[in-house]
Parts: sequence; C-alpha cells; structure tokens
Amino acid sequence: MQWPTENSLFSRETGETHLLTELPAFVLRYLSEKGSSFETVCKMTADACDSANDYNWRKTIADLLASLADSELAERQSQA
Amino acid sequence: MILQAPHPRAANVKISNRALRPQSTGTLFQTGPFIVRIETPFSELRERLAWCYGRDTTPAPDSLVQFQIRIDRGSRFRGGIAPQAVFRFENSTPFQPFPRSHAFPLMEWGLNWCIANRAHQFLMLHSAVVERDGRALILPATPGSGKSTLAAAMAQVGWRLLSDEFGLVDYQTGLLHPLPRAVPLKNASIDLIRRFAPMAAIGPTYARTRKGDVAHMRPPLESLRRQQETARPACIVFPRFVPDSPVRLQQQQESLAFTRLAHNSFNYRLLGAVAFTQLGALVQHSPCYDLQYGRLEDVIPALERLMQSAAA
Repeated sequence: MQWPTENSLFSRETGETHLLTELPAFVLRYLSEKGSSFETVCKMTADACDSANDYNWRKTIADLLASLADSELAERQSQA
Repeated sequence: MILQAPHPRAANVKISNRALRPQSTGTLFQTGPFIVRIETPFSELRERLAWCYGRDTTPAPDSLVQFQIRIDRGSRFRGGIAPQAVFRFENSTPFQPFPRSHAFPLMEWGLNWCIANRAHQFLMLHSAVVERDGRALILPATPGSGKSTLAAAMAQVGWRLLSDEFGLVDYQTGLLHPLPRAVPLKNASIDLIRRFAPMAAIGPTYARTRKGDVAHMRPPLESLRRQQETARPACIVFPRFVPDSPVRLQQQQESLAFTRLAHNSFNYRLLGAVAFTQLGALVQHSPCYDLQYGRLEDVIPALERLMQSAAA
C-alpha cells in the first residue's frame, strides 16, 4: 500500500504489517522483481537516489538489507 | 455456537429431554447483525434488557441465535454472603463473578467479549460510529479516550448511533454495519451527558464496577429501528478528550492512520491479508484526522463542519 511518503506492507509469510519509508520500499520492490547481489543493489539505489556509491552508502544499504532480513522481508543470500 | 431455536410448533410436542427446555426460554433480541439470547433467573436483568432494547428488536422466535448467554446465580456459599452473577457462554465462565446488582454491566461487557472473539465475518475496529445522510463518521480510540461519551452526545443531536464500541466493516462491500447497544457512560461522563442532553434515557448508576461508576444510555429508538441499515464510511477521526482543551483537529497522515487503525482493530492480525486490503481501502477513501477536545458543545459543531467539507 503506497502512501504519499511511506508504504504499508503486509507479509504473508509472517502475518506482520510493516511501515516502510521510501528507500526500503524501493529496495524491496526491486528485489521482489529479481533477486540481486549486494553490489547491484548498492549501485541501483545510489543511481536512483543520486548518491555516490561510496563506503557510507554501502554501509547504509548493508544495514537496511540486514534489517529487512531480520524482519523476514528479504532473504540473505547464501555464501556458497 | 450457533443454535437453532425450537420451532413454535414444538410447544405442542411432549419433550422428554428436559435439557432441551432452556433453549425455548430467555430474552431474545436483535442487535445489528446478531441475534442474542440471554437466559437468566434475574428478573431485574430481564427488565433492564427490555428497557434497553425494547420490543422493536425482538426477532422471530425461530431465528438463528448467534450468541447464547446465561447470567446465572453465583455459588450458593458465596451467594449467601453477597449475591453474585456469573456470565456463561458455551459452557465456559470467562470472567470472575460480579455482584448480582451489576448483572446488566456484566452482560453488556460479556456480550462485547463474545462479539470481539467470534464475529470474524467483519473487520472489527475498536471504534464508535455515527452516521448522518448515509455517511459514517468513524471514531476509533483506545478505552478512556472519550469516544463513547462523544458518540452518546452526537446520538442526542440528530446523528444515528451505529455503535459506541465496534466499527463492523463488511470486508466484501466496505460498508459499516450498525450495532446499537447500551452506551456505558463512566464516572464524570454520566453527569456530562445528563447535563448535555437532559432528555437522554440513562439507566441506574452501577457504583464501583471494575471500570468505576457506570450508567448506560439507552440507544435512541431511531438507531434500533434502522439497525439493519448499513452506512458508507466518510471520515475517520481519532478523538481524545482533554479537560478544558479547545478543539484541535489536524489532518492525519494516511500511513499513520492506517497503522493506528490496524493496532486498534480487534481482529486485524487474525484476518491477515483481507484486513490489510480492506483497511487500506478504508483509509484511501476516507480523510483521517486527529482530534483533541474538551467540551461537547464545541466539538460537535466542529465535526459537523468537517463532515460537510468532506462531502463537498
């Protein structure tokens, strides 16, 4: 559910409802269309947000993905 | 849970099983989409039910009963010291006994509990709802926010009371179903409504219940007569009573309103995706506001202006 500045998301897996700001909602939409690598997500989001894909940005995205995984909204990629 | 009352012709048939007989007794009344049967040995409770819900709400004798409740005497030992009333539903006694003199508030709270735990054919908001010109104003709030008092007052000045406690959303149509019940006014709200609407039918005060002093306002006859008439949601206002506060009405972000409503629903988590979709549609189609108020005389005109502007 898209609101002017935020998004409500219902997870069928957990039955939980989440309130997301633009960036995590954008990342989830992207990941739901096609799974992707950390590198690709960093580049795609940096381009979309007109931000440098530097250390700080990559840390922001890493934290965001970890948070989404903790909430069971995204799955961690296997290292194998 | 669902029991079929015996056919009227059954009266002419000898029934050997005495256990069947209680089904044909008790007070049967309709409240919105539900038919309720109350069985009790307490004549004062039967009289209070008749005063509150009257004959207009009596369904046909062979109607399907959704909630079959017994308000019984407490145990003889304790009853000998202080007469008690016990709430029974489907062979369970979910609450501690109340004093017999509080049998009516016990029945009302117990019926609310039954509805909140069983009526999952609706998305149930913890909310008062009033209506005018077919457009419903939803007043969701936590206990103690003043929603019942506000709904009771609005019902006395031309608004149709759908409910002071349940916003029953039909998740097929998005329409609100009425559930006009006795409005439990608590503590200072009792005199507040008596002063605001001296003609309001308010029953006896039950002193020192678990929620303080409580007196019930009878639902207006118009609300009872039209209790099968649904209403379309038009506006959502989250009220909060703050003594002596001027009216403060602020538009609420949809995302926040959605979250507040989800937290405020009795069965949002149980219904899952269906509730998410229906609640989303409700918020998308109804402007949402946060309200702080201190005087009924000020807040009701403000809400009337708000509903007029929402219609424009």
